[in-house]
Amino acid sequence: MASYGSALLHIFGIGKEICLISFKRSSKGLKLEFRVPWCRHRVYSAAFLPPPFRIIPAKLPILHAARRAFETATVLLTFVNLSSYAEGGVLFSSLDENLVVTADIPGQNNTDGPRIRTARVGEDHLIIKWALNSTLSGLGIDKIYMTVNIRLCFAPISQVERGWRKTNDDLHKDKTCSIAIASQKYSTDGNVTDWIIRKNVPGATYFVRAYVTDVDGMQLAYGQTTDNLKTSNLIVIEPITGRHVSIDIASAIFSIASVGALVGFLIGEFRKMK
Amino acid sequence: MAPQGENRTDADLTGEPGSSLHGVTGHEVFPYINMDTVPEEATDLKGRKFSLPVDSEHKAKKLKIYSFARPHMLTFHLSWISFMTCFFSTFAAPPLLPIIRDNLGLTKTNIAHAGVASVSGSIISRLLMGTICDLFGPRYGCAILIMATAPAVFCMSIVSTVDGFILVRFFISFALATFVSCQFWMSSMFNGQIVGLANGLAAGWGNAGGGITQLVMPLVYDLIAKNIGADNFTAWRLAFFLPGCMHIVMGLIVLAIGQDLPDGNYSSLKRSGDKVADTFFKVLQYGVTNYRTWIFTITYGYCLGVELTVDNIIAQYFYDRFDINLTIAGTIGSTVGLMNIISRPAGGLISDMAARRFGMRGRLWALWTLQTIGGVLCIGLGLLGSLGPSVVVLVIFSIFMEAACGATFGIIPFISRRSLGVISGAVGAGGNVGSILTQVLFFSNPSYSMEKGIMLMGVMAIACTAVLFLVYFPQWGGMLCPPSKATEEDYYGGEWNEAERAKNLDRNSLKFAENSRSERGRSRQEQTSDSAPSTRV
Repeated sequence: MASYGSALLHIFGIGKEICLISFKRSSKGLKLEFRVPWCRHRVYSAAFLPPPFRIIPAKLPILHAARRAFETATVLLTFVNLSSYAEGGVLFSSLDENLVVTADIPGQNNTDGPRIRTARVGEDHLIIKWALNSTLSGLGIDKIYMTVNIRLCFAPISQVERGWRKTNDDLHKDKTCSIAIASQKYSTDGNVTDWIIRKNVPGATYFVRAYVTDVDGMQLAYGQTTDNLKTSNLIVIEPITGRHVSIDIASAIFSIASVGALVGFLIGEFRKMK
Repeated sequence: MAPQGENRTDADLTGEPGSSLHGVTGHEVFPYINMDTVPEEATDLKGRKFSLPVDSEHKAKKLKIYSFARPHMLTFHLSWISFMTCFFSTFAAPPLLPIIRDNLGLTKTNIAHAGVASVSGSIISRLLMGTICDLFGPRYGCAILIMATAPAVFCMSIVSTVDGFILVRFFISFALATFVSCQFWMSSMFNGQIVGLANGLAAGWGNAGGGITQLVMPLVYDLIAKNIGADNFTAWRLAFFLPGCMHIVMGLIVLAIGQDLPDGNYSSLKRSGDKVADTFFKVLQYGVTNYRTWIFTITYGYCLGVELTVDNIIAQYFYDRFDINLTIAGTIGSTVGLMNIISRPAGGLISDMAARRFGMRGRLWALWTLQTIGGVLCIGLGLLGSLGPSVVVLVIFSIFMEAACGATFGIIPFISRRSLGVISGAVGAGGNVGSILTQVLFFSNPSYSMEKGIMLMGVMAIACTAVLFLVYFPQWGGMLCPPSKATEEDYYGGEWNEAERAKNLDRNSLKFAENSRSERGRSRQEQTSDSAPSTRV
């Protein structure tokens, strides 16, 4: 975030000219430029991609006003340029459900068929087993599978009227699976994870999904504990309220203190007036 | 001519309705003020020396911002800090909403209802505060309100249901009436020629509380959640003890060292003559039947209203749309409120500068221009899809909108002399109504995305600002129409009927009319300099 940071500082005029870093497009790719306050007319630049780095001090005698305008334009362009580099992510609909994932809650009877189970935050564990679908084993599909990301995902019922949990086919923008459970190396035999439900998990209805990613972090396949409509085999998680008796008591004491002090003051002044 | 002393006592100490927000800009006139400077060694009624030059009413003629000297500058700082505290606590929930909505299971509709609630409580309280200030003094009004709303702020720490959250935000919003006490207090302490600047600074810096809270609350939350290690659903509750304690501290300070008037408190000053110069219902009638009141209620609704709405939604908008962390979203959101520090006084200054050249028509055009540009930028904000340009547009948009708020209060004192308090209270409340309308129409419907809501808000702001074209002052003209042959005396004198004129009750209005001739603008000033003065004295 350094480029955003110093560019932002420059725009808001705070700590002017601490160091202006800007990106410029050139035929060689991305160019990084540094301007430092003790050397106003010197621009350090580095051809950025790929390594090796080179820092070339360049003397650029520029008129002060023109430099100002140039810097402002560069900064604004920085944002525009950088934003255009945001890539679209992998589309979920292009992924295959190659993994088989199950999530069990120890201490609860596991019966077949669509059911909704309840778990409590901070107390219950989820035992998550994932493995490659047995019909696909030995076919070499998993040669490039590197990591498995297990995530807790919101079921549709918990996404109603809550745009911040919306499902989007573009996995870069998808917010369904925002709670991370574990990240493990992929292995052909699969793995078992024991996860105690963290206290900051909100109360909602969930299912578990595991994404397989390659060496660059791009999703290749997935597996989930529910069906395609995301209606079966869901887990309702009961949250903490966040309230404590001590907070309640402190609240009450402070409130009474406030009103009491006010009344006391007024009575005191009323008496003095008399 | 009625004796000066009698006028002064009437208006200042016996709670004349219509004087609640007198002197909101530098052009507000106090016909009974003797503009001669009292020498620097002036002392108040108890013999204490003043540290600033004062006029004959002991109102300060200079503003020294770095000074905390009693009573004037201390009052200035007390009133803007207490107003800022109230804005801080009213808008303390929005930057933490991403945590709160998970804790309480809020839906978009719930959040919108809470946003509406957070600006609706102050409608009633602003309307009442003017009367309270008149009767009991701004010191009591401010302190009582702040300390009485502190329990509501502490209750925010213990809410666990949706309804509880909405109710608590409603009760906290009563605190926003400190705007009225702040402006009233400034008018009691500062001479008419600088009261505009004093009011604009105090209102602007107070409004900045809405921005400061978006910076500070996420930081406090982070501190508690990470450094102290509390669960995040507990940490946000603990964070609310900060605004609550600020309420208590400011309330006590105001009670302990504040004072209503330069000479002391209402209760300790002798009141000579207890007659109320006007009746509440007459003042209400002339305020309500003046159509300009309602036009400005609508336009202020889409000026302050837009600002309040943005205070409520912007951190969430950036957090959700651009995937940045809570602290940075809060920082970006805070710039809206923080721009108030300069933009609101700047708006008042722009209005005054336009008036010097073009009179009231200049003020109207300045207001329309500022607010329409703000609306256009709001549309732009809704249409932009990338983070950097959004931030830039947000900052510029907030500057224009807040300048429009400052410019509005450059015009309000001239709508009526008799009903100034009622009109100011109504317009102030109208700001909140505009915010409620906007949040209900555009931000509570789950099928509207937030960016669409912001864009539509800009469109509505432009449309509602257009009603300014309907404002017409017979003596000064309107935006499109030149003035008629009517005079200021006709306009302000017209608020009194024959019986009242016979009793000479309209003397203050007529003096105000004479002094408001500056609103004719430079070209007409030269023409009227040799016209006959008012025959009524």
